[in-house]
Formats: sequence, C-alpha cells, structure tokens
Amino acid sequence: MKQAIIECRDVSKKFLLQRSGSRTLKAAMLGLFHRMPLREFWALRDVSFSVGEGETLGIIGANGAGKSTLLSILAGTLTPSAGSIRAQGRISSLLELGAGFHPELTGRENVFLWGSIMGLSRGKMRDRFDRIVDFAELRDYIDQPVKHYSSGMYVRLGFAVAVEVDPDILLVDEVLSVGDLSFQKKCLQRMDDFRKRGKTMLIVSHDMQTIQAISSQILFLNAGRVLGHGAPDAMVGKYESHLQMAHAGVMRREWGTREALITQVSFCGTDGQAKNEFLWNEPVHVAIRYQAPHRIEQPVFGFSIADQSGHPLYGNNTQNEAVSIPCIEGEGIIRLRFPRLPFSNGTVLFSVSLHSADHKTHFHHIDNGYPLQISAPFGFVGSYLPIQWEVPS
Amino acid sequence: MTKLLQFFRELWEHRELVAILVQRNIKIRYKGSVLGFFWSLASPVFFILIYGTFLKLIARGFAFDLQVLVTGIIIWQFISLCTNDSLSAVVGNANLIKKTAFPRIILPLATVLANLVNFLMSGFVLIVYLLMVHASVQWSGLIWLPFIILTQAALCFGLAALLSAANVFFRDAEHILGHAVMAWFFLTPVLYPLSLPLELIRGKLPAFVEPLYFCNPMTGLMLAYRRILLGTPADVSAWLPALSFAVCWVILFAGVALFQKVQPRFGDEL
Repeated sequence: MKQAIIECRDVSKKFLLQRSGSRTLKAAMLGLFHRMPLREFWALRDVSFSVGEGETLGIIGANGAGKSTLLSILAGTLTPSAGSIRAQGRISSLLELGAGFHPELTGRENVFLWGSIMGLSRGKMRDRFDRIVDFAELRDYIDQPVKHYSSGMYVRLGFAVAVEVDPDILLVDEVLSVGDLSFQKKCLQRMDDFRKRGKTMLIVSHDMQTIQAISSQILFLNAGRVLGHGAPDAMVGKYESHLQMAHAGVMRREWGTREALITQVSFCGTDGQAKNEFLWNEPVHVAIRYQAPHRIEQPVFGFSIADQSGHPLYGNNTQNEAVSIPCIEGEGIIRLRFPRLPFSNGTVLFSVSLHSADHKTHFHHIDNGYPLQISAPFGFVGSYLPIQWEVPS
Repeated sequence: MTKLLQFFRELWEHRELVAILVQRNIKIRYKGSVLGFFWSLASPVFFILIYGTFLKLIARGFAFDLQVLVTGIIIWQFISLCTNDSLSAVVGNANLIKKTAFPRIILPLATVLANLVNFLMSGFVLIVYLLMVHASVQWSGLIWLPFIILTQAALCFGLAALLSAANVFFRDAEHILGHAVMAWFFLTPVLYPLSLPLELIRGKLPAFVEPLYFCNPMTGLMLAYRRILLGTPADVSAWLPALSFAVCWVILFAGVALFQKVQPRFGDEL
C-alpha cells in the first residue's frame, strides 16, 4: 500500500440521546442538582483503518451501522468522542442529500459559497463555474434560488461542485441512489477520472454492485464496529451473508405446550468444533438437547431445512424413518448426521420439533431458529443431485 | 500560542467565505421586502419618532434633547440588531454546519460584520443629520471614532459568539434575550443624557455605584460617541470610560473563547 493519506485510530463517537424535545435552561438548572441520565448511543466504536493515496474505500453496512457518522467525522462536521483522525490534503464532501446549500440563495451564489468554504478564491471558482453548471445540466436554472430545485437538481449541483473544487480526498455519501440513470453514469465516470488522477475517495453506498466495482478496498461496518476490511468481493460477500443471517432471526418462531423442551441445538463438522458455516459437500453433525420434566411415551423428533424465505427444502422425523424412541425423561441428546447439506450458496434455516406420536400434542417447535451458512464453490440452483450427463461425442 | 496562530490563519484562509456570508446576511435580511436596504434606516427613524413623542409629551420636566436621542438610538441599534441576529447565526445555519467543515466562529463574525456595514451606513446618515442641525461635532476627536466603533464591534462580536453558541444548547436563550436587552436599553443612557443617571448616583447613592455603572460597556461607549459627535462634556474621571472599553474587550475574548470551547459539539446538537 502506498503512503496512508487517511489514518483513523480507535475512533469512537458517542451521542447522548435526549428524552424528549430540545434542552431548555430550566432542564439544565435542574440537571445541576440531580443529573438526568441521558441515554448513550455509540454510533462508532474503536474504528481503525487507513486509506492509501489513490485508493478508493467503499464503506458498507446496514442502516445505523455508523457509515454516515464516520464520513461526517472525516469531513470535520462531527468531532470524535475518542480516538484520532489524520487526513492529508483538502477534503471535499457530499454528505447525504445535497451539500450545505442555502435555500434562499441562487444556484450560482451557492456554488461560490461552497467554493469559499473549501477555501477557493472567487477567481478560481469563476474558472470552474461553467464546467460545474454544464456537468450539473442546470444552465437554465442556475440563477433560481435552490429552494425551487428538485432533489435531483440539488444532488447534481452538489456532486458537480464537490468534484470540481478539485479536492485531494472526496467523500461521497449515498448520492448515487438519487438522480436518473444517465446522471449516475456521469457521476461514476467522473469518479473514475478522479481515481485515475491518483486521488483518494471514500464512498458510502447501499448499491453493492457499484461499490464493488469502484472500490479498491471495502470497510464493512456493523453497529459501529468494523467487521471487516479487505478486498471488495470478499467484503460484499461477507456483508450479504451477514444480512441473510440477520434476516433469519426475523423468521424464528417458537411454540408448543412445553411439556418437554428442546434446550439447545448445535452444529459441527467432522472435527467436532461447533460452527454454522458449512461447505455444500461437508458432513454436518447436529446435536439436539432436550429436557423432559415428566416422562413422555413415544415422542417424535423432527427437523426441517428451509430457504431464507422459510420455504421448506427438506424435512423428516424419527417416526417416518422408523426410529423408535420408547420414552424420554430428564435430559438427553439426540444426534443427527447429514452426509452433506447439498444446497447452493446462501443461508438455510434449520427447524427442530418435538411432538407426540399421533401429532396431536406439540411439545416444542423451534421454527427457522438456526440459520446455517452454506457455501458452494460453483453455481447451481436448489439442492445438488449427483447427475450424470451424456453428451454426443 | 500556535493554536492562536492557527486560529487566525484559518480565518484568513476563509476570508472569502466571510465576505460571502456578510453579503448573504445583508441580502437575505432585505430579500422579499420592497424597500430593501431603506429599512435599515427607517427602523431607527421610527424608534426616534416613537420615543421622541413619548418623551416630549409625557415625560415633562425632562430636558429633552433630540440630538441625544438620535445618536443614542442609532448607536444602540448596532448592538441590539447584533444580539438579535446572533441567535440564529449558528442555529439558522444548521445545514452548513452539518454538511461542511469551516471555522464556525465565522458565523457570528459574519453576523456582526453585516450589522457593522449597516451601522456605518446609518452612521453616515447620522453625521449628515448632525451637520444639518449644526451640532457641535468635535472634528479633532473624529480620529478616535474608528477605535470607538472597533471597540463596540468587539463587544458585539463577543456577545454574538456567546449568544449564538448558547442558543444551540439552550433554545430559551431567545426568550430571555428580549427582556435582558430591554432592561439593558433603559439602564444605558440611550434615551437620556449620561448626566441624568450621574446626578442621581452622585446625589443619593454610595460612591462605588459610579464605577459599577461604567461596568456597563455601553455607558462608556455612549459617553465617547456623544463626546465626539455632540461635544457633550465628559464630566467623569478618564478611567471610568476606560473601564467600559476594557469590559468590551474582555467580553470579546470571553465570548470567542467560550464559542471555541463548545463548537465541536454543534454537529451533535443540531
């Protein structure tokens, strides 16, 4: 990596959430006597990374992961609660919709206002003015107050100015999702030029395809912490599987009479180490712990495997397979061995059930309670069947 | 020391921004009003008419002096408009603060400078008026005028920094301010000559009240302005107006220091 142009060390950002409304003097006076507990919220926690000159760092993560907070800190609009940030060179930023425009001023006036914030002289801005207006395609509206602009026009002008002030570092937060396709293309083109000139960029986006294509490195944030920093493909893959796992939690459902309970379900490979990420052709051993306070005759254990949306892929139980369990009482473990879970790349949801032989009493069901990550090195659809092809020679 | 140097260097680098914000403040104030800049002259005229009528008709036995009133109101306008505008200097620019990085102190500074421009224009009109009514303007004293105006601007800037920052954290600053400024207005010799409160103090009150009265920075400023513009004799020892002037500069430093201390938190609060 070339010399680091941005260096972020253990950066944390704490927000104090207020109970309600804006603070008043009265509240502050009362606060002198008994301190009102404000809720703390850590938007960022110990975030460290560095960006080399000429690199493009993509920042991904779910909503509330801290992406925008991180960019704001880099842009200098927020101050970190702890840690340090060092950035070399002039930073231009486009934080969320449309820059710091003043609604009452015209487009032209705002362009110069922005230039002056960036520390560019009026003369320099005048040289770039035409290029900005042309790029933003706002020739006819540039002398209108920006309050009359559409959101697309707003972003176009914002992007045009942010790029044209010729910064060393460009920060772009979720801008590409606005504006029409042709403008998005122009922006990408411009960002590409920018990168080719050896400038540094940080981009936040939810558009995985774009960010994967444009970034040289990706930082994956979750709940304010760095979950990964590395090659775009790997990070996007990691983020997507993370999303699926998070989604799986929503699908979970637990029900039953609870006369007997499934207390724990764990998964492991042949080495006995518990995990929930498996290759498509790897043996999977499942241990189902149960607890039956009272004696239960002829119980049936069942399982099923479903796709992410909960559609069953395969399911079976001890009764179907003629495995007889005369009775259970107290604690115990049922083991289940799969030679492989031959599904395509993605998350499958594992469900476990315990019910009576006549299917009338359901003791305990945990539906979609255990997400498993399956990875297959090649693409196929659904579950793998060992097929033999015959082709004309 | 390096910090202070950096502070000024950053300000200098953003001088263009200061100019644009000053322009914008002036422009926005009169945007959408037909008479535009004229209002900045019209409003002191209204005040003068109202207070003049009141003093002349009702407050009998009071040595009414139109020149005192006119100078008082125009000088007071500067500080009263500054404090009023400064409330929104930071809060009203939340958009800029959240989206861009620049020395935040520029916001109250631009507010004060815009009002200073206003004040200089009405000051010019004031001098024309004084010439027309043959007031005893002390021409030799005019050399001091820039320093006096600068000192008043320092006071305004200190207060603007203080108030603009306070309003970010305590939104009721604006409710308090109106009353505070009103009380300050009547305490300060704006409508009446300085001789009136001095007579009262010297006749009935303990000696320390006189310097206390000059701790009000506007007391010394009014005295200095009227000394030069109207030739009003000072009639106090020289250290008293000096005290007022010192208070102005102390307020400037205190206000700016406080502003700088809390400005990193603006982004969180807005």
